[in-house]
Amino acid sequence: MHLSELTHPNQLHGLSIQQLKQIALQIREKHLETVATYGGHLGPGLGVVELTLGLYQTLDLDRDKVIWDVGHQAYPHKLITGRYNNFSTLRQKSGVAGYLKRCESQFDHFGAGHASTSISAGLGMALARDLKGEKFKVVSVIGDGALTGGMALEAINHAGHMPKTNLLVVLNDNEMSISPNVGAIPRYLNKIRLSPPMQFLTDNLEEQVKNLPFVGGTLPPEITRIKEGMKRLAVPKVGAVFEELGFTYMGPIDGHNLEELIATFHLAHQHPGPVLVHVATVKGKGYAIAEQDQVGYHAQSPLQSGNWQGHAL
Amino acid sequence: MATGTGLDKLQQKLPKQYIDVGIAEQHAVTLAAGLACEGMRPVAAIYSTFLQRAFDQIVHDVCIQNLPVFFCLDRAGIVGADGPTHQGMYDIAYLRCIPNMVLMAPKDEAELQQMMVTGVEYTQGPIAMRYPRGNGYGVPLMEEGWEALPIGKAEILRNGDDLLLLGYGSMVYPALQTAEILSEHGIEATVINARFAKPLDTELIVPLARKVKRVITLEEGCLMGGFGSAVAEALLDHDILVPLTRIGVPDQLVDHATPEQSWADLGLTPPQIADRILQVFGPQPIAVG
Repeated sequence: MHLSELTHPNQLHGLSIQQLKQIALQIREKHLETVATYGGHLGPGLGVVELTLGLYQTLDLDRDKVIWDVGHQAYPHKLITGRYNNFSTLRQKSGVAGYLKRCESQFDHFGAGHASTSISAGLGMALARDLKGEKFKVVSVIGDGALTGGMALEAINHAGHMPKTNLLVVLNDNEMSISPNVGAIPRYLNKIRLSPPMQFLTDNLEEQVKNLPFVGGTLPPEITRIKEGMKRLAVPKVGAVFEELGFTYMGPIDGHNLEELIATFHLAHQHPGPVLVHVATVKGKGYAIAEQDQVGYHAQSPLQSGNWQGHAL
Repeated sequence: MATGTGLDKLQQKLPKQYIDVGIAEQHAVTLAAGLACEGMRPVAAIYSTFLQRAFDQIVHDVCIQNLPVFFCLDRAGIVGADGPTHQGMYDIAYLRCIPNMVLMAPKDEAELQQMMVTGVEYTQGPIAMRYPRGNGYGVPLMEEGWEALPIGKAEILRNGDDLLLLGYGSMVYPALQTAEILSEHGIEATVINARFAKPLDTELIVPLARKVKRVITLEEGCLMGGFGSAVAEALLDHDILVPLTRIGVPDQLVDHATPEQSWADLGLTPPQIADRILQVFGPQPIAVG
């Protein structure tokens, strides 16, 4: 399947990892080509290509809602939600907007342009869903830069107080805002990123238990419960602050590894209450110059040559 | 925070429809926007002074997306002993400039009931109602007739040919009292309860201003960008160049005091307003018939 045939994100369902990787490559090509010609945001979108594809494969986008913070990282989202063919009108009069707009697409559930709003908006939708007795997933994607805005913390404070309200927050941690981040929260996130991932820790424990002579291949129910308990005990090592605030923390995971992303999102959807999946991404991923100069390539004016030749993917 | 805005009573009766976010005005406003996206009818009850903290959320998350959030602004106007940090002075000015926003203020407690219905039933976009700290002007409350008011429509409370007095919210009754004092001096005023600062009822106001040729506006809020500014802009836009006096809070901070002391300091009591108007008119220009 070519990206141009993808007009509804649910067409991602059933695609193999290899096919998703092909789509990812085509998104990056289209992204770079468009930004080279017309200008626009470069690094933010390139960093979330796999995150977008992996997340959307685990959702039913006819019902589930994804709220992107800021919106300048939503070019991949736009390219797989019916705006591929007129993407060359990006940021031009009457063309595709550079940020999210509710009136532009049924898949833009909340308009954005400024930072730190997605968790509040997502929680509002989740509360409305529960009041109406409906069932769908709400996912708020927020960057580590936007997480330093006070409102995001207000929203986490409230969501963590609502253990029965299902809400998935995906933390897109590229260690950057427009410029390098400032403050104690980014420093804390960096510390987490350097920690061994939680999932592998518990998997190893499970393996170890299975290998005990009196247990054998299948885990008895008591051990399964203990395993769950161990997971809870093991978590605070890495996601302590989010756990203490009432979220189930998962991560950190490699934001460019589709298998890991999809497996973790599936797991996260099964958890009740507020869940935070911490995804480590590289801003400008796939375009070497942008990866190296993440400040300079946050946003881009049109290139004079109109292409990226010599800047191979 | 249920008790501050008086929502504790609602919380007891409709616990599922009450959401307490703590001290988090920005989050409250965007949360309301999220609720509105899903077809709910959120009412955000926040003091005028505290809503200032959520200005960008009002612009970016509510007004740009034209979402039907109903803002109830308690403690609008003079608040008294809390002083300048808590005065509800700026809401008319800071909300009026944002596209899609509707602004209203009730003249008394019965009209507040009607405006509650108006706000809840209005689903075309954001709408805000301001009302004073403590009590509104006390009148018998409505037992029936809970219909929504037409958006952007004012009402005439008194007729007179010499002067057009336009009151907004808590200044409507003072406008009527002022008109009574002026009447004793032979000046007869038309008094209008504006109800809406936006959209302004220009259909009613513009012809009256053209006819009466002298306009006074009354509001309990900052003059810059406020209700009087809205009237001045409307008259200019219609090429009506008549004397216009705006009465409200000038460009200064209002320190802590009792509300009565503050009104007196600012010249907002009916006798003071009448005196000021009489000065504008000069020595008895009107022949008493």
